[in-house]
Amino acid sequence: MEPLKMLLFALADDELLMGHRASEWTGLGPILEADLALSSIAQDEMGHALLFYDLLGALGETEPDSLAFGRSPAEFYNAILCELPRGDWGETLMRHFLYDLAEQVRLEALAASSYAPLAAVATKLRSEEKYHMLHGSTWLKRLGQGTEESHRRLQSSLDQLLPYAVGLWETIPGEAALVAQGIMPPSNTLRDQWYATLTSVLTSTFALPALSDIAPVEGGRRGEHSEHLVSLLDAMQLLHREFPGAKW
Amino acid sequence: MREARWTFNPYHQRLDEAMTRHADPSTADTEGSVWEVFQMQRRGDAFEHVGAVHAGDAEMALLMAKEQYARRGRCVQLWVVPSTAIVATPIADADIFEHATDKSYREAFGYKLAARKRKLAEEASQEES
Repeated sequence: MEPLKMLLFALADDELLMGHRASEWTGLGPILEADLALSSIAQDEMGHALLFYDLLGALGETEPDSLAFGRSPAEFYNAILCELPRGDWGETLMRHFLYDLAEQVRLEALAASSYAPLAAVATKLRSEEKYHMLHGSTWLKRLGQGTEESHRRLQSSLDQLLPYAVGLWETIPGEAALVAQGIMPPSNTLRDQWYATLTSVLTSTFALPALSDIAPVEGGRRGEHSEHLVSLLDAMQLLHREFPGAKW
Repeated sequence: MREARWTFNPYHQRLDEAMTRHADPSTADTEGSVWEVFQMQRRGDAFEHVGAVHAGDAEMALLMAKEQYARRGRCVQLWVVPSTAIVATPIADADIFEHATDKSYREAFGYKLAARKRKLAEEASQEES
């Protein structure tokens, strides 16, 4: 598949799955207001996915519903971080923080993309990302500096999720061509920028290893996924599979 | 004080359990403190009271208020104020606002604003032509 489509699928699939996992908290959040906030964030992420799927539609791919509900796991190009089970509230928030910071770095870079439709979408999404970052950092500061238990559990989530989060920056297949055309900067450059910011933000509260000491969990950008994506898609695509072409 | 009842909804469950520990249950709350939320819809508008949120501190209250009250419609700014900061007249004393004698001289009945605006607009367009 051409590199530009690979990039757009990566962006879209990341957002779709983060939105789906966040929506699994709807009705089950620890307090009503927090439940509502995360459900809104889930809707934001799905809206972002839709914009990226629309860009793919303009390049000849099929319409967004078929892309979201009709593809098998090997046809998804999300990072494995996004397909992991939602875990408990702290794990969800930590994952969202790592992801939202990555998205902020990525969108800032893509707002200057030589591919104008992508630059336009990236610019548009930045204001919602601003709120996602505010939400995540507000929660993490409180849980991270709260009690001994909350700190310990969040530190443990950070330790477990970092290898997957670094995997967000797995090289897009065919990336060299995109870099040469000015469509995106190299993933490694963005990764280093992301980790530097992450460290400066979290270091007062959490312990972080050196980036070179983290073994990234990769494969997602090549369609190689964990078993979690199978069960995720079984749930997410259930209705579409049972009743193809159904309308609400 | 009474035994907690089991309910399906975890929010109601916690509230019920908290109420068993309070001598005066009407003040029992498990979700942090309550904040009143005010919203400015467009720049220059007055702030309107839109409701309340539960949160542990002001920053969280603002975060939550954004979701509760600014999900739909317009908003450019939010205030949150601890509910305990609000000082109110007792509703039972609503009669202190009634007038014993006719004080309609305080009303602006004689000031026909709409008519004045129309007149000024006509004068302005006449000056242009």
